[in-house]
Amino acid sequence: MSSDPVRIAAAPVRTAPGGWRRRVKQRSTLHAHGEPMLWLTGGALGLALFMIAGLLVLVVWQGIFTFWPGALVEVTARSGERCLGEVVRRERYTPEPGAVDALAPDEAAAARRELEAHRGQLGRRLIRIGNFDITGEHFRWLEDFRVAAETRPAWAVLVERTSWGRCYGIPRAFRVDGEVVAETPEAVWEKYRELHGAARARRARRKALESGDIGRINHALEQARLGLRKVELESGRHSAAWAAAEPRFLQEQEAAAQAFARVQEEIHTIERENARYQIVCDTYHRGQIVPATVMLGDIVRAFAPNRLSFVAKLGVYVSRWREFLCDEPREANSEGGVWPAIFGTAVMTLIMCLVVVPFGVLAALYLREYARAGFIVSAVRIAVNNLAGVPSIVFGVFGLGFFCYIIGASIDQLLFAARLPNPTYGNGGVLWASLTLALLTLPVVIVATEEALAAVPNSMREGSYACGAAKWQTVRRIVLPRAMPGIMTGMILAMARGAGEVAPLMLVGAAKVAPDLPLDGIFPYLHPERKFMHLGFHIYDLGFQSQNSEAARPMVFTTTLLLIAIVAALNLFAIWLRARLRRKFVTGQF
Amino acid sequence: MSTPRFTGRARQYRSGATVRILDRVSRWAITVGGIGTLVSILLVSVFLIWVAVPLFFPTRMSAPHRPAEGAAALDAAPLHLEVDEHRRLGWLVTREGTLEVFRLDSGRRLERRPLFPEAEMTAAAFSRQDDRVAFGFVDGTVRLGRIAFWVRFLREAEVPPELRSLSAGGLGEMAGGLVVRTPEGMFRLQGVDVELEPPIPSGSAAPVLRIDQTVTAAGPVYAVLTADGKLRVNAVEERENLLTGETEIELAGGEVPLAAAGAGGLPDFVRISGLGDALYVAWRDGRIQRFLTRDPRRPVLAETRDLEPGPARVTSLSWLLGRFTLLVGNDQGGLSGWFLTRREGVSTPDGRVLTRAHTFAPGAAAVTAIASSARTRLVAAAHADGEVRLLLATTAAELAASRTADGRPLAVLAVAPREDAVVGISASGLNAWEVNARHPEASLAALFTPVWYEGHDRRAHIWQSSSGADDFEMKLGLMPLVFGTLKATLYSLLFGVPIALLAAIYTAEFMHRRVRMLVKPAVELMAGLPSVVLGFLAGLVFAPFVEQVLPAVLAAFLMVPLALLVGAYLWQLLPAPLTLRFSGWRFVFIAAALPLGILAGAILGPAAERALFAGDLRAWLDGQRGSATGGWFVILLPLGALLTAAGMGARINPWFRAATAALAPRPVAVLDLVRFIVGVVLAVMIALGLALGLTGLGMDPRGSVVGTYVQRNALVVGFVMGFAIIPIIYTIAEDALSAIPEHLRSASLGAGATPWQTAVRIVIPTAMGGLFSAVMIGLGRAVGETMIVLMAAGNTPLIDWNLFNGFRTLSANIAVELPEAVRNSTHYRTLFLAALTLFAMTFVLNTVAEIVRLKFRRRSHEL
Repeated sequence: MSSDPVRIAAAPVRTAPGGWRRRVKQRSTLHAHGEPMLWLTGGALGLALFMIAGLLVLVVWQGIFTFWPGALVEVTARSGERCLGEVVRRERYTPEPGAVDALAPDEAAAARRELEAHRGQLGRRLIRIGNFDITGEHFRWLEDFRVAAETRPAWAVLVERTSWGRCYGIPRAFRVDGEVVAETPEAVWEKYRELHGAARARRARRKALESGDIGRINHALEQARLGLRKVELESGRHSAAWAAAEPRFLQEQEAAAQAFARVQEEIHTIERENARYQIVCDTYHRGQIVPATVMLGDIVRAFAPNRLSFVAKLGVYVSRWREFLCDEPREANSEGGVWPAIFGTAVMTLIMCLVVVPFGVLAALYLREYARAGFIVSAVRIAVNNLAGVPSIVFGVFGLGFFCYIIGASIDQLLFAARLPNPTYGNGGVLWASLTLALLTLPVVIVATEEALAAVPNSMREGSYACGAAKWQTVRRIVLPRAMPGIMTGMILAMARGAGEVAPLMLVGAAKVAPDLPLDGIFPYLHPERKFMHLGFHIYDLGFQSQNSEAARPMVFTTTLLLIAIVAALNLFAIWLRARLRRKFVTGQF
Repeated sequence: MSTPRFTGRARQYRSGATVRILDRVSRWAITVGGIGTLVSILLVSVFLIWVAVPLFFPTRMSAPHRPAEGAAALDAAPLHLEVDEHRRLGWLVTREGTLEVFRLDSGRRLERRPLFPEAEMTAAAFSRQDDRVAFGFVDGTVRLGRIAFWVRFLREAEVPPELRSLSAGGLGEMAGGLVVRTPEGMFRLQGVDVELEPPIPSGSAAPVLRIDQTVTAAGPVYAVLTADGKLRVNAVEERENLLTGETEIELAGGEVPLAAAGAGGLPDFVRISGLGDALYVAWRDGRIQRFLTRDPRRPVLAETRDLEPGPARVTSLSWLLGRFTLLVGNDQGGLSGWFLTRREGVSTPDGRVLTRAHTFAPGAAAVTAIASSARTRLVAAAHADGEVRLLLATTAAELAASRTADGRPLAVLAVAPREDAVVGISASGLNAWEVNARHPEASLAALFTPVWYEGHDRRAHIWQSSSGADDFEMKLGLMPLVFGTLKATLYSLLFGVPIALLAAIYTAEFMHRRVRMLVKPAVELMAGLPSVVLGFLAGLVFAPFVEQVLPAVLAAFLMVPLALLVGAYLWQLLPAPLTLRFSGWRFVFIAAALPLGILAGAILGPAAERALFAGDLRAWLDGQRGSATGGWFVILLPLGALLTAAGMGARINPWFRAATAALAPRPVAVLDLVRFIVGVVLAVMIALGLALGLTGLGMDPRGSVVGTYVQRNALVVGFVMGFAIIPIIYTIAEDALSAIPEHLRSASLGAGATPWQTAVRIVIPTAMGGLFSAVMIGLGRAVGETMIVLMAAGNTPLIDWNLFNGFRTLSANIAVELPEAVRNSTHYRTLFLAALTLFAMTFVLNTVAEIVRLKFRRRSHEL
């Protein structure tokens, strides 16, 4: 390479009027490449991608592995105290000054050794000890220096119960009617496997009675009461109609009471039967061995994790997922499943779709095909685009004030006067939530549909007109079919947005616990006035309103994973659809 | 003309009837449906306005209503007047100790009974808030008790026959009270109930001149001034005798050292505060003394002040609801509100002084009566020229004014319990005004300017909409919430905007097409993440994590860019063929620099904590230890870097470029690295110098942009909100950049510009409009984001720039409070106003962004 560029590149040499010669550089300087700035821009992109990846990995990792059965450890402290449970996590911390000196001598010595080894920090572990009915706590922090020994007893058993949370222990006895029939862990386990199926079936039966039969009786009773109240409202308390209706009501009340007693009797029978079988486990409390008695009928699932093979653990894992997806929550939502939330989310999203798609398409058709293009239409278009950016909580405020308090209250006045002052529609419910979200997602559908309509080439419309088709025929046969993928994209994006939105739902009907699903077997089957559970609200509620937030943590992560999976799947589908649409129709972008 | 027919089928030239009808119907349906849908969207804003606007409707006060019979029947100058909540009945107590019960509609007296037939009453005190009364007698005894309205619904059989035919809303009289037929058809009997406890001694045998009482958590406390000049405070304790089962009354009290307070005759007013801990004694000339009576056995003089420094004389002194604020009326029409505030350097034993907090607009003539509502801080004041004014104590605003029918002054005044009427008695009888106060607490001044709330030391912006206490003063300052919204937006934009824009530039300009097709949907996917997920992660994962490793996190914010820059300068050192060969993999190297930067932060953070923050950053932030230098240094480091970069760009770089133009690339790269290292050292020196200088000046960053660390804070929110706004800004910005026509780039590259020069000088300026609108839309999203701030910001409504403190935004406030707000209450409407504010903010931002975007789009089409 020559160092004199002028000689090689003769052409660019020009002589300016002033007589000076300008050199044209062949090589751009290092500075011109802007390498440092380029790295900063690339770093920003890398950081953004890192953040997404980190977040997804965190959620997926936590969500996937929380249901995997971990080992049960028995920790013996230097003080002789023992405890049995699952190690949830470990961390390092800096002790308060002087805290070590206050310890017992052997512990202090261990702590000092550890402090020296780890630069002034100590380790501790959070152990889930369960047995809330005995110990009064679900978790316990244990510092590493207190630990003298840690073993994994083969027969340590984890019992998931319907109430009081988990029980950890070593089975000692199986009692039937108070008599001990098995005394070794093996024998107890044998008995458990033999009898648990029947007990579980009885529990299912009891539950069916409680929610199904009693629900029906209560419903009938409520209907009768409302009928009487209606008569009272219409013709007064001293009318002949009321006099005729009251004995009828009393009769029905009597019948309901009898039916209730029958069901109650059956439930008692089941309870008595279930109470016959008990498992006694040894657990630790305050350094002593304490027996924990578990009724067989209360056991959701029990297993000895330390004895399980990989396949058996996989079985427990799958069964826990099944429970999570298909069962109702228990223990203040921190255990059990999220089926009502999945169902509530689905019902709400579907109703929302039924409302938002037709109206969104109508509005888009009007804007794109029927309205005369002009200032007003473009202003309306800008306004609609803007509404997509209006905070969702604002729609929630509107939904509460307009749908619940005005429309709903009017409906109550007109149709459900008998139930007042208890609101029927005058309160948050799945219908109002759906309508609110429909309003919220309307811009999404309108914009997507408009885009799709605009993408249909005008030549096709003109061809259709030239063949003599009327406008509606053209729209229906030519334009709409071509725009269908775009409309679907809009719908799916709206569903994704609706499924993930929580803020407005907090105002218009999402509930912590909704005892009844919005869709059930009692006439009229769909109950649009009912409150409902929602996956997103479930996350908020579990994470921030839960009494036992540490125990609820795994549930929050799995629910989060589920919600992200649903929303991401919907979004990916929409992106894929849009890409296909673009390939098909769009010639120029933007 | 005949058309040739080839098919033999007659050709139809007209559309069929069904087609035409269908076409008409569909056009109609689509037009109606479309317009309806659009209108329904716009309905949102209309509805918000419709709910929020009544907040600002003025208070209405009707012309005075004068019942016909009221003129002569009632006592002309009673001591106290009270009205029931349905505005049917009233009672008054005369100076002689007679109770009169009367109908409000006609003024007809229903009952007149002497309360104390065998004793002579000489003083009385009334409390509208809890219906409590206290009477003092000529023999020096005191009786406490209650006079209250009662309501009972009659059974059909109890209703006298002549009243059975009452129409709804009709009134009738029967023994024991007034019967009202309710709209539901029930018969409601109303009356007045008097419960008086047996006399208790006041500690002196002289006639009682002044009396006041209050009920504290421990029991009643009363203050009595007797004619012999003795002022005593007594706390009444009721005790059940275990043997007899009777309640015994025990008095604990002491004499107030009035003599020590100076001469000037006996005091004209004696007032005891709601908690019974302060006794005020005032004279007509404006002198007031405050005694501490927390221990009633030993009252202590706290301070002496002058309520009326001018010649004016006090004519009326009464409590506002809650018995904490004294309302003072004078003979020139002036009216003011006084309460205790804490002041630096005062000599009172409790460090507090009675302060004039509210000065109302004066009336034309002397104040004759003041009545405060039992529900809010609404006050009615009557003047000697017959004027009656409605005032709000919180903001010292005059809400409405009227005049008595004949211009005679009112001797007593009452505000109806539901604040729907004001009733007064003048020498010529009863005067009543219908009032519709609507929402007095929520004026523009109350919402957006600092207000002096009861018990606070100065005017302040405070949001506190509810409390457990009945006599709670609503604090509806929206500014803390607006501030919180701005704080969240600012910190999240500070983090999000640079990353999003830079990432978009890299994607659009330097990334291979195929990689771009993968990267963009991935970032867009992040845009679809439900914000509740982000909020949950922010609150329960990031916040505790950041709290543990705060120094490392802060160091990483500085080290990551540094690592990238170091990487870039090292990359320049590589021989050209090598960089060319690996240029496709450059992004991998860039990505590898990130974890190195984070690692460097993790190592350097704790070290910096030891060096700069006395080993404990959080204790340093609390202000417990360390000097200000470390903090200033860290805060000023970015500034130092910017200054250095600017200085280098302006002075050193042109010279450097000229000087190295003739050199080969490698030595230039080495020199460039040296220049960079010098720059870093310079930046550090500048920051250190400034930090030392500022510390030397005695300034400390703690208490302003940094301060006490709270787990859920603006740092966490800013970071996590980045997840929400980065994808949005990124997508729109990337769209704008890739929309720049390819021929512009080709021309620039063809003219010899490097890709970087092309990006900076051609593409970015052309796409500026699109980038701007991207930032605006990101801003709109940050303003309205609810779940993240709800879960990660701690929700404390504070005005504090501290990066490590929480805040409450408008949106989170709505989510927290609206479910509990009573429909159509002031609180409810204020929350709607907050929603409307949010709506307007985002709507304006988005409209600006959209218009800029459209303009930009037109321009880029023209190119």
